[in-house]
Amino acid sequence: MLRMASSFPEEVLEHVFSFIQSDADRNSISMVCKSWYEIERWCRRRIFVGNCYAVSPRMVIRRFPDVRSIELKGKPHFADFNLVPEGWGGYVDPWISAMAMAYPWLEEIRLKRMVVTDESLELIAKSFKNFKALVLSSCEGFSTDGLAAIAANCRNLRELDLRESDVDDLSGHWLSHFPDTYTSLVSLDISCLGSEMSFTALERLVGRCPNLRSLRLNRTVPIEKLANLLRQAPQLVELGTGAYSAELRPEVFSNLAGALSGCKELKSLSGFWEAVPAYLPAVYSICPGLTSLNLSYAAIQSPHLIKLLSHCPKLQRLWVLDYIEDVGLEALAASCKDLRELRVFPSDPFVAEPNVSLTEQGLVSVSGGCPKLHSVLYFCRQMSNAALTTIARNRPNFTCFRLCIIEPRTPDYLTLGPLDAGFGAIVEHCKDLRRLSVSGLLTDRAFEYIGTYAKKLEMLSLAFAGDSDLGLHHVLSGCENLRKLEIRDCPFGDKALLANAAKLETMRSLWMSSCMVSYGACKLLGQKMPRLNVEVIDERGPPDTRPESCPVEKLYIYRSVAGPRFDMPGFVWTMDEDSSALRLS
Amino acid sequence: MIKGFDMNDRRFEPDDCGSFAISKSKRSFEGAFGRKIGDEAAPHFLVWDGQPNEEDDRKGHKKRDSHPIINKFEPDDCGSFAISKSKRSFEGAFGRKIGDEAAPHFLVWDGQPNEEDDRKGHKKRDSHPIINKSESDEESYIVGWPPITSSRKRELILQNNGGRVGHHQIIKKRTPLISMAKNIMISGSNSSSPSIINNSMYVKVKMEGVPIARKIDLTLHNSYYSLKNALITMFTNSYDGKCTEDRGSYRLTYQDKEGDWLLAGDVPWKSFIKSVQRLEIARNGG
Repeated sequence: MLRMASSFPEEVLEHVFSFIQSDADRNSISMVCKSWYEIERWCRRRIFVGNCYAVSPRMVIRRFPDVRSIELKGKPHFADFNLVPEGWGGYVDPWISAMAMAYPWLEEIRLKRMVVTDESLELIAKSFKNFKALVLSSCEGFSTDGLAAIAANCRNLRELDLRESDVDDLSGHWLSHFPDTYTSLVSLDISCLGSEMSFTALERLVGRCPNLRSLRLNRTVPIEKLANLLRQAPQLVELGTGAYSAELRPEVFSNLAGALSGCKELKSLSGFWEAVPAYLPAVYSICPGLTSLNLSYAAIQSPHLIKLLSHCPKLQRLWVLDYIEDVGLEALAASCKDLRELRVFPSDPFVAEPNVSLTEQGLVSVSGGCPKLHSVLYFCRQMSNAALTTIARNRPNFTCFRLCIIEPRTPDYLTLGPLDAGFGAIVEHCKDLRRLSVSGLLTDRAFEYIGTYAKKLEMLSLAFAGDSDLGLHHVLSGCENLRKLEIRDCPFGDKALLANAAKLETMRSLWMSSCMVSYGACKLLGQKMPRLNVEVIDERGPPDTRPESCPVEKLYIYRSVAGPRFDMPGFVWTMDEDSSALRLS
Repeated sequence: MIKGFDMNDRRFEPDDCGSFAISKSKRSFEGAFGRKIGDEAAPHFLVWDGQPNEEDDRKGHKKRDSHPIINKFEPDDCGSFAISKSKRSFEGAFGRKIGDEAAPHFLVWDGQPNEEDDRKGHKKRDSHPIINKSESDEESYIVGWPPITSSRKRELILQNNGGRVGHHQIIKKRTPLISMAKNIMISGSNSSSPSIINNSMYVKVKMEGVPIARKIDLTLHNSYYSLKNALITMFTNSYDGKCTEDRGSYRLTYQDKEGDWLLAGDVPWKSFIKSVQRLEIARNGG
């Protein structure tokens, strides 16, 4: 074999590789030859682990000895909706312990849906001298004591982002643990916390950090105090307000409006808890530059929303409640031609009768009027095939289409038939669709369309849909790029799953709950597919106390090179290769 | 290349005309669905049983046609938990002869246990899924549906004025049902102790000067500030320009386990939660 690799100095290759950041490209590089594999692994600095159980910390450390940034994801997505019982797993402690010893120069840790403890946070604070960024997205298990340790010790911290996490909020005092000498804060998101903080401490922190770009407050910061903070940080690019309500007082209003107008770089607004319409105009001065607006916690009615949006011609992202109504979405389509992403959340999803006048028409308007719109999450109560087809034709550039018709199995309200054709049109026209959530009345035919057309689809969410295993078979056999599939309450059973067993190794994970997969099939799958972890989650007790044909409550299957895990609670069983032994934790 | 296999451990070959192992599976599905899973040692809950027998069909029809949601969870219900029992979907699956249609590539298994269900399945399929209004006012309840996060749900509850009585949808943390059963304290609506339902914790709140007491779910809050705000919002009932300045001039007191009335805010939140029995809120001074 020619020794070509040695004729090219390693340092040069390393330098070339440093320009290549994407994981996929790095993976390709590492497969060119052995020496490239070696060089690449020593200089890979950023790791993304989409499923923390797919690989072990030791394996990652062994292959990549000098990592500076790691991202880990834990629980399945349906954990957001309480479908994954508490205690299922997703513990980050073993990772932190291992990395504390192996990666002293680690700078960034990003976690999603993981269980984090105060001990881990303390270990992070002590172990990584150059620690810069901690992002805890939808995490839980830690308290403000852990945050205090981070604040006190991480001298070079730039980013502390707790978005959507469930924090045991003992007090707001932790913020005061940032020493007076600490000035490097760039991004702070504490919007999920409940406790009041010392406003003076907050103000001083904001005041001494000249690089602060993103500040997302929690709701305890009253609107009257917002102006003071803003005057300390006119360089802000992203702002999340606290509670946005007060009795209308002219001096408070003008103070706030003035402070906001001083923030010339402001591009993104969020927060707005308890927002009252009276204070909305205070933001008008910065609206012309606004690209992102999150009003999804604001119970503001459509006339006020329309007025506000008319000031935002550059808006790219809008999250809003369905108070916006069809009329508001029509106005949005007219004012915001640069819109890329829209999310419309339900204001009262637990009643049968619509409380607002928001229908499929709103989505039709936006898809027609906004040429750059590519990502949608839309909650509504009625839909028709005609509307979906129009939407698909209007907007073939959708990459993410998530439609939630609130009542399960709702048919086309015009024809009373299934919505198969409508979703068929979506997948047929939107050739770049990567993420899809379907709802309403759907037969196997809808899945046939998905399997036939959705070739770029990576993530699919199904609920209360389909007729038989044929539906699941269409998806598993047709969607070539499928990585994540999550299913609840669909009549899919053993056959399609087993017949497409090999497909599961090409995916990150499959979640099925309240379906018809039998325990026997799970065992068989676990036996036959050693590189899959087949987890049966069943709160009724051990599955072998019931017949093998009995369906399991929940099933989570994911590929893994780490083998079965050992941190499972009493209601989770991994189906082993050894079919006679069930691992009980 | 092996794509997969079937329950009899036969390899599934791509050109196998898509036969979804018709033969033996019938029994396995009957086994799965003919059997009342609730018959076994599943102590606490009625679990989905997808029996396609006549009785259930009628019941299914009557109640909620295509409404998959089970459980109106009654506070007095000794542990019948709301588990999504999508009964209709399974009967639909059975009742429908999928092979009847232009199923292009595959002979699809039709695992209908018997002929009767065919008709019933068909009937169901055509029915229009609307919520049966003649049922109680209590909202129907499926775990995790619609798919919105807990933090969002909590906010909606607060916005919709503290929620209606019997509002059980909010589950802050999803604990395993087996251990939840132990946590359940069933109390009638007249009881003065907190009622823990589905991991919520309701206590009675009385506002001075307001004749009707309300109930608030303490698990939705993790601080006194949050609790106080929610109570003020609940009782004052108006969103336009309510003065937040006034929030300081409310006094919150609580009755602890010993029966003593104490000022809220002195002890850490966690201790407070463990001992609070009921709340009272009053305006300060005059």
